[in-house]
Amino acid sequence: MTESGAVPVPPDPERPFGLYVHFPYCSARCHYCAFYFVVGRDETRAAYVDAVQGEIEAAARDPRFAGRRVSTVYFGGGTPSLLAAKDVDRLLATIGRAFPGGAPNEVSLEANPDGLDRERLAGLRAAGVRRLTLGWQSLRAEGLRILTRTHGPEDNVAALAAAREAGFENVGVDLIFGWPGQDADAWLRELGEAASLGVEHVSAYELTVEEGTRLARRRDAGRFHLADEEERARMFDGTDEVLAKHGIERYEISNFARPGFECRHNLDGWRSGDLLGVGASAASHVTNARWTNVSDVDEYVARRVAGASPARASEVLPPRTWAAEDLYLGLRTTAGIDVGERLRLLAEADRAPLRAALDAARADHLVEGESRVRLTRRGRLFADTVFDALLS
Amino acid sequence: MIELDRIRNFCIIAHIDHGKSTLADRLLSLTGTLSAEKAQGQVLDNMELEKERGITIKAHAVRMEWKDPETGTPYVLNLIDTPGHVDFSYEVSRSLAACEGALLIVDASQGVEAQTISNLHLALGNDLEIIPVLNKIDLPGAEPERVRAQVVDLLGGDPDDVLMISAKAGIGIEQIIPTMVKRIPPPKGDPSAPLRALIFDSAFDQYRGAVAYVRVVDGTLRAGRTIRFLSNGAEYLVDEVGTLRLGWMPKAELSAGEVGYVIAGVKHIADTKVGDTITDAARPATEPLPGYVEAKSMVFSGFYPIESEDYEDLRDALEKLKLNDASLHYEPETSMALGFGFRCGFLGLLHREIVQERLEREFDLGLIATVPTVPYHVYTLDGEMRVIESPTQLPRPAEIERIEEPIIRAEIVVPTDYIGNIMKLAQERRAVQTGMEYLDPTRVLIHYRFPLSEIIFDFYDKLKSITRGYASFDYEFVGYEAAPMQKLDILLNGDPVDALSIIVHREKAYEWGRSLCEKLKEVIPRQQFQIAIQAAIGNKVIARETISALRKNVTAKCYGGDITRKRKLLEKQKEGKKRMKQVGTVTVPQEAFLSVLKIER
Repeated sequence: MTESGAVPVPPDPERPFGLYVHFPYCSARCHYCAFYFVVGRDETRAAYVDAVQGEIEAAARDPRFAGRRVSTVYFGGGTPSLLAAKDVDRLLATIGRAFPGGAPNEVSLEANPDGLDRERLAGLRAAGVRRLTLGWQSLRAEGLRILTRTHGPEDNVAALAAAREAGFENVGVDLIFGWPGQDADAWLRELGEAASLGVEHVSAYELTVEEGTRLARRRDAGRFHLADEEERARMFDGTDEVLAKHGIERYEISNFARPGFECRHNLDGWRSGDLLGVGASAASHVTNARWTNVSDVDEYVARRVAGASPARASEVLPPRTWAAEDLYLGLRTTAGIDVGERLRLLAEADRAPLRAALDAARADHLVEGESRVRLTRRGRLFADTVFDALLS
Repeated sequence: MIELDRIRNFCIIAHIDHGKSTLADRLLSLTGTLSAEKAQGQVLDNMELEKERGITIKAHAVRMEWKDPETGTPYVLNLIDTPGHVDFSYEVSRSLAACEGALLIVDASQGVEAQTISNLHLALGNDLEIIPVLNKIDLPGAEPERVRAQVVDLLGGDPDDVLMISAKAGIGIEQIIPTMVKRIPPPKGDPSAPLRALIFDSAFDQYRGAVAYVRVVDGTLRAGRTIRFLSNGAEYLVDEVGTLRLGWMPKAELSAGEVGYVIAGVKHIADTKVGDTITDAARPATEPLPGYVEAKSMVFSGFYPIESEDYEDLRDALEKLKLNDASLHYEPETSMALGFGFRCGFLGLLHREIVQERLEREFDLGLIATVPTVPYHVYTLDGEMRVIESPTQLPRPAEIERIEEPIIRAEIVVPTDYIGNIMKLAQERRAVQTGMEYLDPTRVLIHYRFPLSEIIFDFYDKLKSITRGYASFDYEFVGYEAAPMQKLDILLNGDPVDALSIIVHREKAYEWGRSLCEKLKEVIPRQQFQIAIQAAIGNKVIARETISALRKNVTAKCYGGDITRKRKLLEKQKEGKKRMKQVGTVTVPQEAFLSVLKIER
C-alpha cells in the first residue's frame, strides 16, 4: 500500500523485460545535460561496476523479475563507452546467469565520439554489444561548442567509420536541434548531411533547457536566447521529411529509423513494458509500480555494500494514473496505442474521463483513430497538452 | 442604580500603531479588571485577523471600577473601543456618541497623523472632552516637545495639559485616570425619562442570537421588559442585560449613563443596527437619539467560486459571515464570463479585503473577485435616478442624462519634502486641493476632495511608495458630483468579458484601455489559437493586443523511465492552473480579473 492507496499489480511472468544499466561517469560536463553524471572519480568505477553487478544478481531474487527473460539491454549514461570491454562482458555474463531464459534480442550502448577508436569498439562488440548510439549531437563546430561537447564534427564522422570497421551494422546517432544561433534551414541541412552519412537510426531532440543545469543558469543570466517557438516548430516539422528522403522513418516523436532498426529497448518502454534500471539514478517500472535509485555514486555503492536497496523514491500508481501514463507513452509512438484494449482493464469511473480527454483531443485534431489512437501531425507538437488532459 | 456623576464614559482615539491597545491594557490592569499577565495579549483585539493586521476591526467595551485614592469615591469607567480604520468611520462615530470624553493618543516620535486628525474631527463633532496623551516618550526617536507643540496647535489649550507617558514602560500612566475623572464630564441624561439607549455595536452569538452593545442615555433598561427599536418598530422581550468585563456580567438593569449589553432574542445581527435607539415598548420615547443612518456600501465587487460547484458553499459562507457583520451585503449575480456568484457590498476597500480573506482562509474557498467599483448615481432621461453598483448595470449611453460619482474629503499628513509628489498623485487622481496647513515646519496637512473611485485602485500603495511610507491618509464620504464616466469593455476574441468591464472617466479611458490590454497580454497564457484582446467603448475599439498562438507543447526526450518525472512536473503545473477560468474558448487566470488594480499609471 502507498499514500495513493494503490496496490502493486503482479507482472506477467511470461513477458520479458528490458534492462537498463546506468553508467554515470563522464570525462567532461555538458552544460545542457540533466541526467545524473559524475566527472572524473575514476577510482570509484571498479566498486561501482561491482555494485551494479550485485544489483543485477539481487534482482534475480526479486519475485517481480525472477525467472523472467531479459529482452533488451541498454547501457546508458553518463558515458558508457568509457566502460572497459571486460566490464561490459562481465555485466552481460551476469545478466545471462541471473536471467537464463535466453539471450537478449538487442544490446545497445551509448558512445561518445571522442576517443572512440576501432579497437575499443571491437572490444565492446566482442563483449556482446550489437547496437551503438553515437552521441554526435551536432555536425557543426559551432553547435558542438555551444553544447560544450569535447569533440568536433570530424570526430563524429570518424567514430561512425570506426564503428563500421569494428563490424557494427546497427548504428544510431543522437542530434540536438534548436541551439542558440541555429535556424530551421540550418538544422534541416545539417540533418540531411547526417542522414546521408548512412546511419540506421536518428534520435533528433529539440534542445530542452532543463532546470538546474548550467545551460539554464546561462539562459537566466541572459547569456543566450533560444530561437523563437515558431522557428523551433518548423525544425520539428521539417525533420520527418528530410529523414524520409533517406529512408529513415519516424517511429516516435524524437526517434527515426530504417524499418527494422527501431530501438527495441525504447519501443518496449513506450509500450509500457516492464523495465529494470540498475545503477545510480536508474528508474524502474513494473506494471503500476515505479522506483528510482539514489542519484549518488557513493551512496549507491554504500547501499549495495551494506546489502540495502538502492531505491530512493517509489510509487504505486492508482489505475487511472497508470493508464494515463501508458496512453501518453503509447501515443508518442507513430503506431499509437490500442486504447480500447488498454481501457478495458479499468473500472468505468476511471475509463470515462480518459475517454473524454481523448475525445476532446480528437475534436481538436490532436489525435486520430477510434480504437488504435495516434497523434496527428499537429498533435505531435502538442503531445504534452494531450497528456495534461489525460491527467485532469 | 449608579449615580450619573460616578460614571465616566470614554474612548481612546489614535492613529494606527500609536499605542491604543497597549494603553487600554494598562488601564485594565491599573483598575484590576484583569491581571498584568493577561493584559500582555492585548485583549481588546480578539480576532486572529485583527492581530495579524494590527488593527481593531470590531468595537468592544469594558467596564472598569476605580476608587479615588484621595477621597475614596468609587467610579465606574466605561472604555468604549473604536474601530481603527476609515472603512468603519460610521461605527466609530456611534462609539464616540456613546462617550463624553476621549483620550487622544499621539506617538511622540511619529507625531500627528491623518487618522489622528480625522478621529479628532469625529470626536469634536460629538462634543467630547479631549485629553491629549503623548505616548512612547521613552523611545530613542521620540521628540516629545515637537509633537506636544503640534498637539497644542491642533487643540489649543495649555501644553501642561498634555499627558506624557509610555504605556509600554509604564511611565506616567498613574496620572491618566485621575485626569479623566476630573476633566471628562459625567454623562447627562434623565433616569426617570422614557428609555433611550444607543446601539453603538453588536455581535452575534450562536446560542443567544444578536447581542446589542448599548449606552443607556435616558431611563432604565431592564430584563423581562419589552423593548422596541425605533428604526423599524420591531419589539423584543429582553432576556438579559448586563455590563461588559472580559465577558458578559448579567445585571437586573442598566440605568441612564451606563454601558452594557442587551440580549433579547434578536435572530439577525442586521436587526441590531448600529446607531439605532432602543426604547421601552410600554413607555416609548418619541424622539430617537440623533445621528442614525443606514450604513451604505461604498465599494462593490463580484465574488465568484473558481469551481462552479462551490457556489452553494460560497453562499453558506457569506451567510455565516453576515451573521457577524451587518455591514456586509450580498446578492446573487450572474456573469457571462464567471457564471454564478454574488455581488457584494462593503464599507470600504479594507472591509472587502477582510471578507475575501476570511472566505478563502476560514471557508477554504477558491474565489475570483472582480474589480471593485463604487456606487454611481445614474440619472436617466426619463427622470429616474438609479444606483449602479456594477459596470454591467450601467444603462446604454443614449439613455443616460448624467452620472454622479461619490466624492470623499481626504486628509493627508506628510513631511514637507513630499508635497510635490503628493500634488502630482492628487492631480493624476482627479483630486481638488481644498486647503493646506503646516503642523510644524516639517509636516503639512493637506485637504483634498477625491473621487472615491480614484482611491480604490492601488492608491494606498502608490501613496506609500511616493512618500517612502511617511504619508498618512484618511477620508470621509461627503456626497456625489457629476462626472463624465463611461463603461470600458474588454473583449477576448470578440466576446465581451463582463467581469472585466470597468466604469472610467472619459479622459482616462484610452490610457486605461491600453494599459489593461497590455496587462492582460502578460497574464493570459498562450493557447493553441491566437487571442485578440480589445478594449472598447460602446462599439468603438480603442486598444488592442494580440497573444500569439502556442506553437508546440511537447517533451523532446521521454522514455519509459522518465515518464513519472514528466507526470509529476505536469501535476505541479496543474496546481498553478487551478485558479483559471474558462471564458468562452479562452482560459483566463484569476489574476486577469484583478489586473486592473495593478495597472501602473
